[in-house]
Amino acid sequence: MNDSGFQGAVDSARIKHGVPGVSAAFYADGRTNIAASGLTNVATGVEMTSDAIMHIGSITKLINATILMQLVEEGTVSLDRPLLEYWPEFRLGDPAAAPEITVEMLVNHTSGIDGTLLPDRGHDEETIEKTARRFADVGQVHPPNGGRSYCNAGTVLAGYLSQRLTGKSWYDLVKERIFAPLEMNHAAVLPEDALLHRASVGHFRDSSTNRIARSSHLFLPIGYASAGATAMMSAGDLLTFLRTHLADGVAPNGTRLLSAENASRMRRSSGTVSGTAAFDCGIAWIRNQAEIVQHGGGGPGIVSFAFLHPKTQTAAAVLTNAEHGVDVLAELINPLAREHAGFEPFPLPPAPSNLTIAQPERYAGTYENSSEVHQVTLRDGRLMWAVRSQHQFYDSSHLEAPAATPLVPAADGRFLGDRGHGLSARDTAVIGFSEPDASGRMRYLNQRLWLYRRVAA
Amino acid sequence: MNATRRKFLAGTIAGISSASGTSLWPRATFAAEPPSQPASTAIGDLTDASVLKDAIDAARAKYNVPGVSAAVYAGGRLAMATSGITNVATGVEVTPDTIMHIGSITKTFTATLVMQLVDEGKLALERPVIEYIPDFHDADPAATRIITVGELLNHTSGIDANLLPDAGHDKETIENTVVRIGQAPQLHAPERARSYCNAGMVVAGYLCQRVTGKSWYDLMKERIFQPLGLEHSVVLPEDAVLYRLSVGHYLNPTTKAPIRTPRAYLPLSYAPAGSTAMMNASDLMTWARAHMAGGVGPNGKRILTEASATRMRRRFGNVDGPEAFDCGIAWLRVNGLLHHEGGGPGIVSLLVTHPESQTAIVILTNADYGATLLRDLVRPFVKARLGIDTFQDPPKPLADATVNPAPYVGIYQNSSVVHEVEAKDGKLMWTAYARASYDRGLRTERLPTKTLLPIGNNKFLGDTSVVGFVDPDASGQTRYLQGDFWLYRRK
Repeated sequence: MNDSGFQGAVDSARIKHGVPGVSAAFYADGRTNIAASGLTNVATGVEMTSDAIMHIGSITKLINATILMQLVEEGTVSLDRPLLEYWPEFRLGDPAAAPEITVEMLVNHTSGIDGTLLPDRGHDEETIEKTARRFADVGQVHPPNGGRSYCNAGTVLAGYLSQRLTGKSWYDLVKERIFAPLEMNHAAVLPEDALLHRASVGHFRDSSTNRIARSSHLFLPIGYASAGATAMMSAGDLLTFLRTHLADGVAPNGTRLLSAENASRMRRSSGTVSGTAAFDCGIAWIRNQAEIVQHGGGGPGIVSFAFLHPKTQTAAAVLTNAEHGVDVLAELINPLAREHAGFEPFPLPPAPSNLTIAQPERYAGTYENSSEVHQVTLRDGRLMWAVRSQHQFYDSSHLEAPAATPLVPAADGRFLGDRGHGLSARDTAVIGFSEPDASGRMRYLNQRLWLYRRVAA
Repeated sequence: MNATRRKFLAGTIAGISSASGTSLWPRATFAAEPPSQPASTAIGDLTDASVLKDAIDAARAKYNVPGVSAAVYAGGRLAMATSGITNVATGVEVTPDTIMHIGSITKTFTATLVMQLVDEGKLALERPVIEYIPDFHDADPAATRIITVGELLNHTSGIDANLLPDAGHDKETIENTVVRIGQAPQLHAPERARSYCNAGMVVAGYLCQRVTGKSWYDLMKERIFQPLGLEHSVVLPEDAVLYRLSVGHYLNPTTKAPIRTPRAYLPLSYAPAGSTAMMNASDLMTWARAHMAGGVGPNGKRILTEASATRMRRRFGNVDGPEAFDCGIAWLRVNGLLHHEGGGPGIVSLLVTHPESQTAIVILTNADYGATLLRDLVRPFVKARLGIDTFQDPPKPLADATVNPAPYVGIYQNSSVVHEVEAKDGKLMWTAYARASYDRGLRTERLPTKTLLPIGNNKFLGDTSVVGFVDPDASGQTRYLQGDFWLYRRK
């Protein structure tokens, strides 16, 4: 696809799905393509340009883990050592868990720490260090290495560990160790830096009126910066970072960021999980089929996605400033990934089936982690499912879907649920259950990258 | 050090407060402003929006300032206009809803929060700070015991921490900085003198936090922005990014082109003194009108008792020594005008009110060299409208330049600047060393030595800056050097 073809594809995907702004970049066949479309902010009407910075959300976890791997390379830290060795005051709600948690578990989502997000305490209280200390009060979704459930808390701790080991703030580490050597000039990790740039903000769509409104908040709580609350950049700068990983640690400008061994180690499967793994993962990279490694990002009114396919030296980043931007991601990413890697990172949900569910009572129960509670009930022989958020985050109250809806069996043995967002067909919840106990009742429900532990019948 | 950085340092030295303006006020300045040109003679009726627009377009073009937002209120008429761009790196235009730095004008907000708490009986201006913050600590234990709430607001506490080095985002909290301020020495004993004091205002902001259990940021939103309906006003960087916003600029001395500041704010923890607040000119005018109306916003919402609003405007405090300026509660006073300037990295701003005639003017610029523009617009307006000519040029040096250097020679300093005054060949020579915080450290920059030419009354002209010497001791040696809003103590 040439530049104008790519620009056209970005424009049409954005318009088709009613997203205010999109910035996208891909690298394939030795060429870079960049396109930007729409507005940065519907309240100001400022146009999106290719140098506008946009939220990358959790894609930040790749940057965070790269810094940690640099420290591994420098001999400052070892992945297999317990975190307690480097931070003797590290505490968790479950005292038995803390000593078991290694540095590696922080970045491969196996620590089990149940701290997806904590309530926003306000600017001056939202520091990475204070947030790391707040995990002393949270429990476990699963024991360390006893499962794999997407874990923001671990990556906050990894960021804090980097601060402790270097004596520098995580923000300075990102600037000095990533942005500066890679010459990422349209990238920021602090709000006060973001406002020097043309900056995009998130948007929500009111599903009843279809009106698009600017997010009331720019970021998720800032104490979660190293998990991805604050980082913003142009798609082009994100592609520079991705290409550095694609080239096994060497940036397009020739700077080596990481040894080839450590860059490839990040992409290999990491950890030995004894229980349910909600997904496969290296060091921060989420591993997909067809040798694709990828990461998505979310935030208040934003979604983003990036992937690499080292075998064909392909990389892509798509940043959108709408909560409902997932269809834009799919429309732009799927053809690229299919063409180069023969795989679509955004598959449609599996088809519903007419399978009869044997012993449906095995699934009934309340399953939760710190961010969501899933209630599965049996009504007239049918499984019903309802989900609610544990926290209200900013404008997200409309995500509440308290009414129970039927759980429909899918052909692959999982279940389909209607989240009721009305955002996208891709938003259908695909739900699995795992680890039956002696009575046959399921211990875990999983949805997307998360596990939810059964807490009651 | 390249030109950008040098210019940035100069901006920081001027500090949060200085509109560096200063040919604006009949006081000295250390900012190296070009000599101001005679103010435009004919300036039309600025309460006419199109006249205001033409005036700021012309002034902006004349001084190569990237962006300006202005509001004028007089005779019951309100006019607003904007001109130029928010950021030379992005080219985004300044619009009426664009938020811009107000810098130290924020101090009038922080002081209003304190006065609200006084109205509610939660604070008393004459009580010692330590009564409300038992762990409040000043390097001088005698000062710790006696500094009052009121002294934080009228620049008489003497706490010498004009600006501390930036400790980095997560360390730059108001609470942490109050602890750091507690290690700062005293420039003078409380109420012994008046010298512009950012630290006092930070402590005042923290005091509001302690008394209410809410952050200063939330107090600003809940107690001021919301009731007055200020919808384009923010105090947090993460809120600012939601708006069309302006950033500061410096002039590249070689190319004479404006360049964007490398950083948007002075250290964040100085927020109650003015590092983070941004708003559009219209919201700032609403604020001015609320104060001129005795504490009631144009929307009819009362945010302050009339008594407290009036009290803020009256001269406040009994100073028994030198005063660098006259002051009420946060409001600076001159010739019946109540005003405040604002500075920051690459910005200057100005709010002038005249409650007696219900007249006010707001000008926000995004250039650190915008002071001359402010003067060009404000001087003729205030002169024509109110018959007050406050914005005069510094006096010419006396014909007889003979000086007895003895009373003046010495080293004078505060936490930001060290001044060396020497006698050489019968002339008085002046060299300033600016201790500026930049990034994570302090550095000192020597400014060019200048000859001090007498203008009378122990005042001198050093190039374009007025330097005064005050408070002689028994031997006749002056205890303080005065420049702009600051006093510097003899070492």
